[in-house]
Amino acid sequence: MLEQKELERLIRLTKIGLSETELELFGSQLAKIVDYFQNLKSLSLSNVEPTSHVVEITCPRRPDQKNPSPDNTLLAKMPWVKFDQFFVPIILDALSEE
Amino acid sequence: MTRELCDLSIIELRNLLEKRKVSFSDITNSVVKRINEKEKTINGYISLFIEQAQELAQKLDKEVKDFNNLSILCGIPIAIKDNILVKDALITCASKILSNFIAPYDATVIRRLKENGAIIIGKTNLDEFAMGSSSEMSFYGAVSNPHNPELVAGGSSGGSAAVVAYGGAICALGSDTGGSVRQPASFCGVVGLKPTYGRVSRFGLVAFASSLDQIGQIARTVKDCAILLSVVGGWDSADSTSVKLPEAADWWIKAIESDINDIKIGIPKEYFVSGLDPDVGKAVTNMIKAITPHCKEVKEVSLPHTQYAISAYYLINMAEASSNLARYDAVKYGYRAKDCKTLRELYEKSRGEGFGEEVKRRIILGAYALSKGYYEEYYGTAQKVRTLIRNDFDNVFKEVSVLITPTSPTCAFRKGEKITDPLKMYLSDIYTVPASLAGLPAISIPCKDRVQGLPVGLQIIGKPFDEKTVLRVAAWLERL
Repeated sequence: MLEQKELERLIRLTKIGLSETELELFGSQLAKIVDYFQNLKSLSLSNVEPTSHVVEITCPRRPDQKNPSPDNTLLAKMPWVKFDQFFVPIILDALSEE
Repeated sequence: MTRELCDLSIIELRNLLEKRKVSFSDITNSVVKRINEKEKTINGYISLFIEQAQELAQKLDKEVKDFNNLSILCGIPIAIKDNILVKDALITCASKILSNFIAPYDATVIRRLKENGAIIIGKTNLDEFAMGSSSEMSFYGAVSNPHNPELVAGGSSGGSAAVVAYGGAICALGSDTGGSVRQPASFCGVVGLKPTYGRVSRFGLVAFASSLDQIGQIARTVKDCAILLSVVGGWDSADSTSVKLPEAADWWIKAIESDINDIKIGIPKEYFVSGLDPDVGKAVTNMIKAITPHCKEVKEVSLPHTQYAISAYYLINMAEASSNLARYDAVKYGYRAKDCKTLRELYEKSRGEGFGEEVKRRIILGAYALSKGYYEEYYGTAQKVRTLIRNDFDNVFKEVSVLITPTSPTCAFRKGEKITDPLKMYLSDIYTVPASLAGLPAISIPCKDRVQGLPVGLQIIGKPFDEKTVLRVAAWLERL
């Protein structure tokens, strides 16, 4: 059910680098799991509404007021912080490459 | 074997404290001593806060003069699953990708525990990001079962269940997405409660499958679970899925001591079929026989879509996990792979090296279920099946007050037995995932009979927000 080409597409989508061994292992394991999921196809579901959540979800809103930004102690706990800012790899060249 | 302070319940410890027979420090030191004896074999903790715990206990010894108006959890050593944020402590989720991450704030449940004077003794081991049923899939090594270290502790809250079982904490918090509190409680011979979805705030619980995750309570008695829930539960403005309820929380503790002669019990026939270990079935059936003369009615009921629960559950679980775990991009925090030249390389190498096998499998399959061309076929279908499973429960709860089932088809299995076959591992969740899909409260308690010396879990499932009845039936069975 899950061809190699499909697996490669999913790896691109999820941005997870897999080793050759993992690729081989996952190919068969994931196919077996997807095969198992086919049991749902025996059900007639045309008149059934989907459930995405079991409780009613409301969107709480706080008053539109200024809140103080987190102080620098929060940043201090993060790795790769320089000059009170996140230090990230160069991404602009990489983005154009995408 | 002599029971030490670390083996006692919250109620027993409070009685001793009030009579000045023991100090807060005596309790904490007893727990620490047991941790030192057992932890090397069990590996239930990822982080321990022994010094801070002992300091807090000493402070309580000096400051507490009067026990009136003092929370019953004050001075009680509690373990926390390492996917719940405790401010300024490591929060790893048992993953390499978060192995350097310090929590910037307290989860709501932690804030409430601290306000009640509870002593947080450490953060417990789990399957990475709570994805697993054995607690073998941890970056920090597998958790061993306290009854036999060659067996798994169950998962994913295996660390929390194991440390409560061996006396390394008086009680613990875990998280239950599809059985992750109930199944390890069953394997380790303790009580594990998954409250109704919405009962306990998820603010500060690291998101895995957001429509299913719920913080659960693990203890050695039903009453201790009720006490813990009464403190950590309740509406929270920081979690839009937490539910405002009119009742006060402490009524459970009294209510659970009452009779059960008004209770109608349903036994779902789909839970007693092939695949269930006959000895486990017998242990559960013996408990049902014992309760039958004391309740109003025991009858067989049907939940006809149970056989579809695993597929629906895992599709929803994986889809939500795939979306939630997209945040681990190695840009702001977490593990970052070395020597990456492009952004794509940074993402792929960091996520490839930072996540373990099971997490990768679920993210990839979740992306598959959500991707163009497959969404309706998989994720959409699973959501509709979730409706059918909810309807099954709604129908039976018109006739009965609670359902009794086994918690797991087997007792604790051997380490390594299922780890190479993920589907086999998923199938072991068959009795716990239906209640999760429907968001119902459910508890696992140990049966009176054991199988080859190992504990067997009995599950009680209740109506939404009816923890009171679930706990009442559980407490009655516990007294057998």
